[in-house]
Amino acid sequence: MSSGKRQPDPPVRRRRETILLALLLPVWALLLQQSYDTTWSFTRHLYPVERVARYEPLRTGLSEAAGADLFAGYETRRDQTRVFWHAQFALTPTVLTQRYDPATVFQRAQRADPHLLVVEFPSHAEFTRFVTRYERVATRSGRTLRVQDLGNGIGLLDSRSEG
Amino acid sequence: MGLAALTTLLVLACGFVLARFALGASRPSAPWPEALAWAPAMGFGVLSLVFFGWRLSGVPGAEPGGLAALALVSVLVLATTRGQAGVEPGGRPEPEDPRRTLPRALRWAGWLVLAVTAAGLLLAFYRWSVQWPLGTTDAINIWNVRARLLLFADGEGIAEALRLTGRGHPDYPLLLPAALAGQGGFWGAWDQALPQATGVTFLLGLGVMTYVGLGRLGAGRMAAAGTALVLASPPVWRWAFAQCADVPLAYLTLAAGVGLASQLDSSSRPPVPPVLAAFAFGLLPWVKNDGVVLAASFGASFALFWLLRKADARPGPRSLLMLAAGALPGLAAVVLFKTSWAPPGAAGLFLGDSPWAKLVDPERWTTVLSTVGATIDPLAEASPWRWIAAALLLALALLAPGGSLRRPHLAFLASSLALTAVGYVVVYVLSPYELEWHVPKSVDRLLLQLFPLVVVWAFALAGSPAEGSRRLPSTRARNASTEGPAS
Repeated sequence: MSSGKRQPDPPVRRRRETILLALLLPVWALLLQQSYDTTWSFTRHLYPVERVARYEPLRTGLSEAAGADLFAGYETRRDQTRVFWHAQFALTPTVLTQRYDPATVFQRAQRADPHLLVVEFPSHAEFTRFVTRYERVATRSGRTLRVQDLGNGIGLLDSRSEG
Repeated sequence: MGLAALTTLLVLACGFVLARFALGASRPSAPWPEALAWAPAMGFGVLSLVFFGWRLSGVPGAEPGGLAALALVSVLVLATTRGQAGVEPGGRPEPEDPRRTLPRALRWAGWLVLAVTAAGLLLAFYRWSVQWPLGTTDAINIWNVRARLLLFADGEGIAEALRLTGRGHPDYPLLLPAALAGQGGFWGAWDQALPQATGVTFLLGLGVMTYVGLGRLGAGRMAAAGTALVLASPPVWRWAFAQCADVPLAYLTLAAGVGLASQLDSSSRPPVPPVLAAFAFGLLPWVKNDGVVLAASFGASFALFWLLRKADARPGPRSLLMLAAGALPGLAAVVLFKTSWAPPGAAGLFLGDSPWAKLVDPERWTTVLSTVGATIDPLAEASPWRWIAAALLLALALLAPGGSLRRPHLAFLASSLALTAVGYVVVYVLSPYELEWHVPKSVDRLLLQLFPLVVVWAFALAGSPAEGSRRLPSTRARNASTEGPAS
């Protein structure tokens, strides 16, 4: 495996290295400039910390729950997924299961006991409308509903059988 | 913030003690930069393994106990080896420091460039971390959520929790999550500064390992330039700040590559202790699933070069035993994790959907190769890799002539890198996702995992193949001299 070719003389090698080091100097400067410029444009992928912090107050209501459902009342799947990860990070170790379809959510309200549901809507008005519908379904199934309303479209619905 | 930084410093200090001990086993006068370079691998690696093993066993107390055990072992090592470090037992001469041959002006210029790079990087890191403390989407979805699960979920609930948070790569192994949970558990709380402090430690470790690695492979003259090139590059900046596992994986790839290559170095430079090199190798698949491709490629390449070398010029049975012992903890943890907590994951996803049809589809190969080519094209203005590619081409043009490429340790690195690249391309071809989305989204991070080692390989071409070869004739002789008792 050893080299069969003749190596360049040390002075030749040293000269090549020196040339390389000199040429690398402007490349390094360009790299540094490019790093600085492109790194800040990359922040569009990041989570604003305030968005995650908004879920923290729900922790008390979920303190003993291993799992809960989550429903995000946004139009795009991308926004719904983002809500999921914000909430999941803030509310760990409670494991959230994302529900995309309101029909499934209402079905779960009738079958799961207790049913814990974290919800987020773009506005408080939409949140209230949803809670009214949910309460109707839960009451029909003989459940009592406790709502933790954070007032910003986010809340925790806890429906369970009395007694 | 303060407690988190102190905890990370404690892990680093423990890693430093253990690395210095491992280095001292073969080389008692191991300089502190080398121990510092290996400290993140030892500190975070051992902590994650202890924490995972403890939690998996179901015995309570892993949260504060993981880091406490690491600290205790480090104190014991420090106490029992006190006074031994720095003693040169056999009078074996240290290799000449080749950096001395650089003209003084260039040496100072190198230091200045390195200092400016490090200062800029750390300032930007600080600014970014204050403004965006949570890291990127992947940092939250994959690593930080899982760290919090490991920290807060009860023992029986972890497997179920990992399964249910399935969209965040549920079968991703746990080096980072367990290392973060081990630190948070020491104080009983999560602090968002923990992933930041851990991230910056791996980032600095990457720089020190590049510097030390070039010295190990005989190109200390190029160490400052190579390190500056790595630390100034856009992918390193953005992914180091992002709290993802790619910079830690790049660091461990570099450590494993340099460590294994030094076992095959035909000069008299002392090799990295095999157990240390293999420990980093074993951790590769413990960081990310991508690490499986890295470990398979490096392992196959090392086996091939071991077979190709003459019997008296290759690592002996004792070195091989040490290599196996070093790799075992990381590899065992991966197997345990995959067969216990982890739900079925990536392998099934990639191999499940008519793999042969994908492999023989030329359009898929063309799509993958053209996207990767466009990413590293030095003429493409938008590419974050253009100046890096230009620098590497320059290095190859000036340093490769003369047959240096065929030195066994550099040929090993070249073949390992080539095998890994082929492996990644095959994985892309098998991808269950739309290639037009998958390749551009992830290729930057795969290239980052290999890039520091590519820089070290290219710049190590500057090393003189004849350095010190007159003093010790073979690898076995070097190993025999370095595997003796420390005292």
